[in-house]
Amino acid sequence: MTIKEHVMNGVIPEGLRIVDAHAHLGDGEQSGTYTCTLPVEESLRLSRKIGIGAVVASGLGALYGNVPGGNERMMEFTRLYPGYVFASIFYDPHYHDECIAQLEKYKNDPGFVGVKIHPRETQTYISTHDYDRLYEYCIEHDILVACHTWQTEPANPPADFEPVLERYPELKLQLCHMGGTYQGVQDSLRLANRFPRVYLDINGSLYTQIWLEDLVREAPIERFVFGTDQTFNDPRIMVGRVLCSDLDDGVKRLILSESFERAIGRRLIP
Amino acid sequence: MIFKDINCGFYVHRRPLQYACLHDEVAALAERDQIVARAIYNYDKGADANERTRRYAAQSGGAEYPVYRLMPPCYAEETFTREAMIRAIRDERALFRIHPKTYAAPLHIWMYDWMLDVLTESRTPLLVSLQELDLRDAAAVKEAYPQLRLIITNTDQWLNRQYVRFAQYYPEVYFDTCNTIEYYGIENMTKILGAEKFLFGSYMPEKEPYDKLFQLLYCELSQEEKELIAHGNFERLVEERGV
Repeated sequence: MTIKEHVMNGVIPEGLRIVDAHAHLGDGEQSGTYTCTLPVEESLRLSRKIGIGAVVASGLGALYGNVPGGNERMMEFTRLYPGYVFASIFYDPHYHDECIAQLEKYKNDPGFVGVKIHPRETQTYISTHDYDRLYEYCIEHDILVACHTWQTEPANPPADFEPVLERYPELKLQLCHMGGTYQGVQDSLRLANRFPRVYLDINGSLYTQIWLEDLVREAPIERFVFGTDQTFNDPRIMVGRVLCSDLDDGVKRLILSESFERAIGRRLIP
Repeated sequence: MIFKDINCGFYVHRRPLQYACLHDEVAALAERDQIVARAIYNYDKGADANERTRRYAAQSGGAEYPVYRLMPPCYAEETFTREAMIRAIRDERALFRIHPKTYAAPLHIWMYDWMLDVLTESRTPLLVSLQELDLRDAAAVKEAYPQLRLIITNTDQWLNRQYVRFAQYYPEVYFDTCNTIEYYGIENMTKILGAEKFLFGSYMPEKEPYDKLFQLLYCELSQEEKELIAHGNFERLVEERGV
């Protein structure tokens, strides 16, 4: 029985390894856009139920403005749920010293996985040099940087990473949402095909009129990584998108966990 | 569980990076994925788009219902006469979709005129994408035609307050699930508006159906609510309407 056949019969296959490489966790923190943000325990219950074996998340509190405090809270979650919740430390150039201090403090912590940046929310554009100090730090310490990208948002269209990657070709970069539009996906694919340390987070390519079966043929398969964007989006959307697709099971396993684990150089699910 | 798709399209000409795009590809994939009935719509903009839809639906053995592009009764060459519209509803169980933005034909009473009478009297759903709809226009129409069955597809989580209030205020307003992606969206919307207001919609071929299948299979609704959304509401509104 294939993964798809299991799933369509109401069963998540035993032993299937799913790493959610793009999540946001909070504890009842709800924003003005109305996102249903549940207690963290409840969020993790849903993730476990649909087969997600590890969640790599940044803290909602940090995204909403409490950067150092939100990061500390996120690290608390990694201690509350060891081996299941992993942290992306949120970096805002306005709080450079505080964020770098947190990276120094946690970079060897087993709950730490990488850095998350969100140029739109922090109003610090990729096209500027605002992030150069972070890039240099992350290259030095071989840390993955995950960036929110959206082609129509002036702060973070993926194409703006081209000069960044020309300056810092060693940067290990996860393009969250792949730019979110058809053009954004094309720009993201171009970057991945040119720069060997660029990873494509398939979340966000859902509404670009591109089907997953065709998308994964447009760049090396090991560059596609899996993210749900929970707890903004429902994790069942992206899990279903991969599990119920017509992709081969081997390709699904690469996307669901193996490619990301290779990118960060460690296994998150035993 | 079986699924019946209220928002299933196809193209006549192949488009890049769409694994299932042409009618037969979409139909085959749907059948494999337990989507046993579909309201089909031709995204081709050619003058014969509706005729192609009619032919495919007629050849489907009852699995497909035609959704016709409804232009206002302005140019005779591109629209329906009253008799043709009634015939399509009666003989083919047709549905209709309007495009307020794409074809600059906003949903006003003076624009669609007697067509709204035909739709209301025959209890035929009118489909429209929320991406194209000004809910203020829709509200004015619903004031005059409260029993018009409006199925709003392609919802938008950033407009959630508007469309939720619209459906709370006006009767006979329904939504498809194709864009319900927000966290616990399917459970929250069902709790607020009721499962009878939602219909499974894939929005093929502009997106894959996989997320929507999984969402309903693994959502935390009662089996009765799941079945209503997956196919029961389609049966009530499309297949069993008293035309």
